[in-house]
Amino acid sequence: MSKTGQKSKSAKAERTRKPADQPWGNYVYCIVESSNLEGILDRAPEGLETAQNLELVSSAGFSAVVSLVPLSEYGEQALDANLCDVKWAASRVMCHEGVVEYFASRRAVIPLRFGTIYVDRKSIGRMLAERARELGSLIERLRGREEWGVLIYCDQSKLIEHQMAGSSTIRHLLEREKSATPGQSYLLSKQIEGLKAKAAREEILSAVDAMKYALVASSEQSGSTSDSMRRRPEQPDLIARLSFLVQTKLFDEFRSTAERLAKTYLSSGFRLELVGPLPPYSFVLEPGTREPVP
Amino acid sequence: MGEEFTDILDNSELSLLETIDHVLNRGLVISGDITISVADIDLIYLGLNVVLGSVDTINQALGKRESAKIVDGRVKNSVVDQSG
Repeated sequence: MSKTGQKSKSAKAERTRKPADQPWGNYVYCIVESSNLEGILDRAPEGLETAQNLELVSSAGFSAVVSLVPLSEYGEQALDANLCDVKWAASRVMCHEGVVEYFASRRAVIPLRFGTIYVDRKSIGRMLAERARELGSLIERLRGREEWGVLIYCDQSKLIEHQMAGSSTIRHLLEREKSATPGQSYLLSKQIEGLKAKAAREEILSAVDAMKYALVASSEQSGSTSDSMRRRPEQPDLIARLSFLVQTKLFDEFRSTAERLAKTYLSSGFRLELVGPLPPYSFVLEPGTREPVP
Repeated sequence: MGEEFTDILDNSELSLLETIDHVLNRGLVISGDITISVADIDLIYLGLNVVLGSVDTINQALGKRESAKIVDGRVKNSVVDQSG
């Protein structure tokens, strides 16, 4: 996966020497346990900035995976400006993910959000020591698990069609509409549209609820979805996006549940997609904890 | 594991959206020395075409990723394996 493959130790040492002529920060990607990390960096990808290799900063049994970044681009103001540049941001975001995935496929990992930068490396060690207990229980919760996204789509016209076939109320109104005067007809059609929309809304809520319930039973935890329903214009049928923390060895059961749900709800116009396995970004908080507002 | 490479582009885009959302909006928040006020960068809104322009970087970064479409009750696996 690493585009540079294996590097000789001396070549690596050469590149990580901090050029003295400009200030550098330490960008942190994720946190792992310090035990058994011998050789883990040998085939690791490079950091966000070319020729800056990954390094480990360890304390209290934990190691932060870091690399050097120039403060000319990653200092507060510079970073805010750079993040508005899609190309700049996209490649760094993907690189961050690449590093996290490299470790996630080899160890239990706590993924960090984009943008954790320390000027002084000693602060990283202090942070790890201060948070060691919290990090310990977090990594215990994540060990042997992976995150899976479940996307639920609904073809609403198919849903409505399915419902109309089953609704005597709507059928009755449609009958009346046939023999109605223009005025009555207008009112009736409004009533019918309203009923259809209401029934569709209710069915969608109830279906998503039922699916979530079934999937939670086949997993360990479900993630918050409150803010994840950002509109995606390129996917108008997407009605819900759920996240689940699933034990790797129990994934088959989770997938069977998803298949069963897909079959059950197919005729009402629903379809499911699974995305994963992903590093457990969505599960870094204690269940039930609210994330602090930035 | 079946290795059907169906709808690769759709699955890549999907994985991409999920990844961007994760890295920018989720993950553990630790206050470093530099605070960024990145409330909600929606690269997604800015046009996926631009992002997909850096396909090289993306392909290198995404590891073995599986996106399973459940179509007509059957699971179709598309294993997008970028390793190698």
